[in-house]
Amino acid sequence: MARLPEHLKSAPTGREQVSREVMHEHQRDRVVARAIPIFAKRGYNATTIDDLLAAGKVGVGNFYDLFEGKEDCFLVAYERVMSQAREELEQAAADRDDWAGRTYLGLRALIDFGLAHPLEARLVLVEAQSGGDVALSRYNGLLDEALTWLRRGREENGGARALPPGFERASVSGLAFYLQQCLLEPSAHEAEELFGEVVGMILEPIIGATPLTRLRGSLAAV
Amino acid sequence: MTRLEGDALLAHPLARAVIEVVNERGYELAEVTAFVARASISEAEFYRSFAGKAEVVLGVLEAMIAEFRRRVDAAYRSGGAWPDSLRAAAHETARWLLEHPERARFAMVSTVPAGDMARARREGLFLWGASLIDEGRSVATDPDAVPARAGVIAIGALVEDLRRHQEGSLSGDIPAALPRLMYASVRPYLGEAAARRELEMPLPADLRRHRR
Repeated sequence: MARLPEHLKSAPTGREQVSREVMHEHQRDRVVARAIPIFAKRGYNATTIDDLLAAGKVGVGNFYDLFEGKEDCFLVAYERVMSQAREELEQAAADRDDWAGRTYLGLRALIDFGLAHPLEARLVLVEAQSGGDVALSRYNGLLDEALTWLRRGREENGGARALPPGFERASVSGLAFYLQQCLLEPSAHEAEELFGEVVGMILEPIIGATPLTRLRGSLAAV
Repeated sequence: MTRLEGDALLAHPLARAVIEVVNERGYELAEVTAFVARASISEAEFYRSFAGKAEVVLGVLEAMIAEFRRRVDAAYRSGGAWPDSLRAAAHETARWLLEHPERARFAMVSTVPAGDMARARREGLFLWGASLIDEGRSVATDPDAVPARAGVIAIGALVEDLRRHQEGSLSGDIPAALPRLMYASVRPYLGEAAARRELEMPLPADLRRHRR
């Protein structure tokens, strides 16, 4: 049987599927990137599908091919921001394997992230609370994750065992609220000032004042 | 008829209706028709005071915040020196929350989607609470060493806990949380020993009865 010349053969099916998936992901990414400032500036509830279509430059049919609806688009945006923030926090603390050092550098990276990407931070810390049940539960999960991390600090630092029960919860809740206020207040915040306050309120009670001073000294150049 | 606002609104069946309907259905699905039906008033009567849902919800929220602030401020002002005054305010806050769980849910959870004006009213209340905590600076041994926003971080602990209590994602009772919230509030101003004393302070009898 005669064979078809190479240029007349169709591309392998698998390759074609991957390419379509890649296109889909690429388009989704583009729409989400443009949706983030809309959600952050207008608020989740005031944002309409029309706003998202206009910002993403997609038609309504195309939008619903990419997302199940507004809430789904918001959740994809939330996950995208979280993934970026986690990566930056992880990178910032990569050189340390001790709890205090990782916490110190992680808090620094958290504040830097919030100041460098205020709209993204606002989406995760403020708008997630009104972005539906799933978004709210992810936001609560995020606070619980931070709580677990701080509790590990108590276990690893003998002095912190004397802290009252619930200290970590108060710290995480206070930090979340504090960061929300910084994001809602349009005035400029100095990274150093914010960082100093957060470390003083969250880390110092757990590791103690003297070890914190030592840590500050050893990480000053970081 | 005069416009319904403040305490008059809070005492009117419409306020109760708005709180109940918004708590039951959520802000987005709550409608004026449901408010007036629940309050047994006519739509004409409603629209003489309010332009629509957003305005009445904001009016109720403002009225309840004003009432709450008056009560807590009175407790704070008659509570003695800081941190006794702050403890008295915390106890009064707990009493209000126990007396009005439906109002607390309305303010902390149900009206979160109600837009920027409602958010601004809530934030204003929280920052007022932070200012009461920050009066600790006047009795701090070293005021300059107290972080500038210690009050905001401390009030945040209370606000976030309350929000999660109201949502049902955090268990425990309100009076039980008071000593550790006082600890977190006092520590930046008066240090560890004074903060630790807050953990030992007995709750007033009326609040002890609510411990589970």
